[in-house]
Amino acid sequence: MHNGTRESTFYFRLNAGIIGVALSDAARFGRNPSRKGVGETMDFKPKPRNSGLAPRKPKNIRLKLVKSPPQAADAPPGLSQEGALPAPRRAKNSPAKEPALAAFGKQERAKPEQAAKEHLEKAGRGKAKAGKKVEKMHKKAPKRGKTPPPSPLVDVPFASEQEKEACAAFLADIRCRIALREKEKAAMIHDFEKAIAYLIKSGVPASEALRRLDAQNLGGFYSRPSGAWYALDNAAKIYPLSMKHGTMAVFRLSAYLKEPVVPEILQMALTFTIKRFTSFATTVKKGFFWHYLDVTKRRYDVEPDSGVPCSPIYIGRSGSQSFRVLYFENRISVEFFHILTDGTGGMVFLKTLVAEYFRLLGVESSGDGILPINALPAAEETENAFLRVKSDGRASGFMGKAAVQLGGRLAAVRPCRILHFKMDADTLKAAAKAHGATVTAYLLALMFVAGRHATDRIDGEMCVQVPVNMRKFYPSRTLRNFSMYCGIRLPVRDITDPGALVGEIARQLEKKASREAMDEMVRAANQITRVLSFIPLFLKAPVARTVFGYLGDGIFTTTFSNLGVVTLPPELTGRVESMDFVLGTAITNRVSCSMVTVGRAATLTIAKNTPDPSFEEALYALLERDGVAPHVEGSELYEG
Amino acid sequence: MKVKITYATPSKRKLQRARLIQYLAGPFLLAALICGVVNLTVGGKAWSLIVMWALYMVWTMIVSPDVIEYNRISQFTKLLWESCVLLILIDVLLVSGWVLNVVSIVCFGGIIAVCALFLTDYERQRHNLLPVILLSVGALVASVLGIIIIRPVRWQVSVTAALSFAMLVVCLYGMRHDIKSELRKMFHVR
Repeated sequence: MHNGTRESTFYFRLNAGIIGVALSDAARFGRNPSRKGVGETMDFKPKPRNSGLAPRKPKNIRLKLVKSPPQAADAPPGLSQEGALPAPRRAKNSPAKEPALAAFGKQERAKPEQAAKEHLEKAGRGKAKAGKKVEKMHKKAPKRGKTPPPSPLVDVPFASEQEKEACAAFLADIRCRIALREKEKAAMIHDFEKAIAYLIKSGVPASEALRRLDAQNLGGFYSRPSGAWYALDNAAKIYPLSMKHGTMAVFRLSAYLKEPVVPEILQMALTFTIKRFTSFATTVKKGFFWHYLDVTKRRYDVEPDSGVPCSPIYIGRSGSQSFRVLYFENRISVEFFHILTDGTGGMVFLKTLVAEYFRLLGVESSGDGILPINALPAAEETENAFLRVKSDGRASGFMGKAAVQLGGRLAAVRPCRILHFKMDADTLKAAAKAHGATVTAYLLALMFVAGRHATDRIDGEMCVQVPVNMRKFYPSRTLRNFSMYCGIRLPVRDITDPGALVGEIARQLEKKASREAMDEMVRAANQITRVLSFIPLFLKAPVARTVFGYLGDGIFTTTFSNLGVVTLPPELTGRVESMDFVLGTAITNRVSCSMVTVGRAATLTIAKNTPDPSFEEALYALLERDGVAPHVEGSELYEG
Repeated sequence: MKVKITYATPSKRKLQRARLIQYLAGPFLLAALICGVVNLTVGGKAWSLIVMWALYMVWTMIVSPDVIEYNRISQFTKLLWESCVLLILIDVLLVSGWVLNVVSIVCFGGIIAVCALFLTDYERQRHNLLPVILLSVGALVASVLGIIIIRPVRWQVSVTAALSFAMLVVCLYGMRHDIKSELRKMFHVR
């Protein structure tokens, strides 16, 4: 509305309706508000403002009215057919139709002060009073680099007035549902704006875009202060006690899509998904006796994947998150601090995130371990499932002799290289069958032989740690840690040919990964937990760190964690190329191996702690000899 | 074996904390060892314990700080605890008779500072109450014992008792919405 003064020309009326345009917003959007040609700009806040001169936090959304271009015929709107991101529709917004757009484009990067000054000069009414206000604005103008980012909705081609209004109402609703700190709230609104802009530019009708991004997907998660907390499960208790600078139990799960990841959509997918995984939306805190997970309401953000995989997550600050979602080209990765979950729980999160990502792009899917994001989390999902194991009975299983370690110096950067052996699952299964073994036993045999190639030791024993999913013995929907491990142990001198080893490995697997053996180990873990319960954390933490530092992972030569076959709903199978699983938890072990299979794509991953290539080269040769012929992808060596 | 690179090249990082710790662990241990040996050889007062504690303080506060809960309140309270221990060590091992006054002053000064840290960023810091509660309880218990045992009562001790009690009240007020749950999560033993 009009405030009756000349300065109120910053609030003016266009055909679009009542429009209030603050000068500060002009600065934000980098355009001159006095130019009608610049656009049918509109303010969704009907209330007038008293002063439009002082820069303030962006509240207005200015949207441009242009006709919506036709949608792609075959692909779902929002999802490009050929994998390329849709180009902004500049052709439709041709200068002939909107001559001011070109000028707007030039001004887009203008400084806020400059834009304000220009406006006043061109409007011809910036005399004494306005001059004073400009001076005032100059004083209050945000410093370079602190200017709020321009709204992505500036050049969005809305088809009609109703769409703009719907969008404005939508964003107003979103604002009401977010009760975070101002900075995070602004960032989250910006996320929504970016996602809307992306979807509309890629041909999705605005109504459909708003439906997909419906505010109900936020639930009440971001509008209530947090009060919940979770005690650590019995397996997780050791991780914060043993961690130190540069050493942290982090693992990573990745999904490779058939087209490049859209960060704007991934961010929204995470924003919607995280509320379902309340035990992941937490910060690690110190209690007097144990650490715990404190639910933290914040904007959990996605980051470009530009660091060393599985590098420690900084969890020290108030409100720090204990996982990270990364994207690189066509890969979505989630790295978890093991305190939150194990591979199975992590995979549920990744699948749900990917499903939500595709839902936002127009591909609905459900089932196959994907959690409905708007459903209430079941109590069972956050339970400490180790307590399901009865306490009466024998308890043992944590101690062991030191195992032979592979050769090669330990790298300063850990893991210093990631290698993915991508194989055809059927061929791999056939190769295992030819040896009369399961895939796990067969690959273990190959690892023992490859390990033998990577060490000069001729005596002692090699031991491979094999995590065992306890859910197969105690069906549980828990998303927390619920796995134990066993050690497959062979004397170095007996390690010659995989064929000669598979029988013994299968026998040991059957015995050591049995329910009885696992129960004994869980009981031992539960007993240790009970004994340590009443010792204050400041006393037990240094002791645990020292003990763990001495023992470390020295009783194992390496680890092989097989997540098995991951199923995806049919809507996603054609869109997810493969998955991989990286273990970054080793301390003295030179390599850690992990595997996951999706459809026909089996990916064996080797996370290396040494530049010595003997292990992977031997493993590759053995696989090739058996006709598996893996395709190898991975990272460069992070240090020479 | 040909490897197709599918990861971005990480940017060169600054000196890692882990590497710094690796470099400094030796010199710190050596310094502590030398002090102990020299002190034992020369004899006299056990000043080496004070040096060792000071080295430990530098180590835990600067070289290898906490990985979990590295926030301003927890670090400040940790510094207070460690400083008090250092002062007590100096009093017990070198020159005695002043520690009660000094520790009391350090404590109430520290409590005022913690209160300022807490109240200037209430929304975030209300999640970091445990170190403040422990500090307040510790100071309150110590000062009450001081008031009961040591005569005449010194003003520093009384002020410490009053301030630590006030701080405790502030903490409880901060947890007023669900005090039971807050205390349970801080002191859970499951």
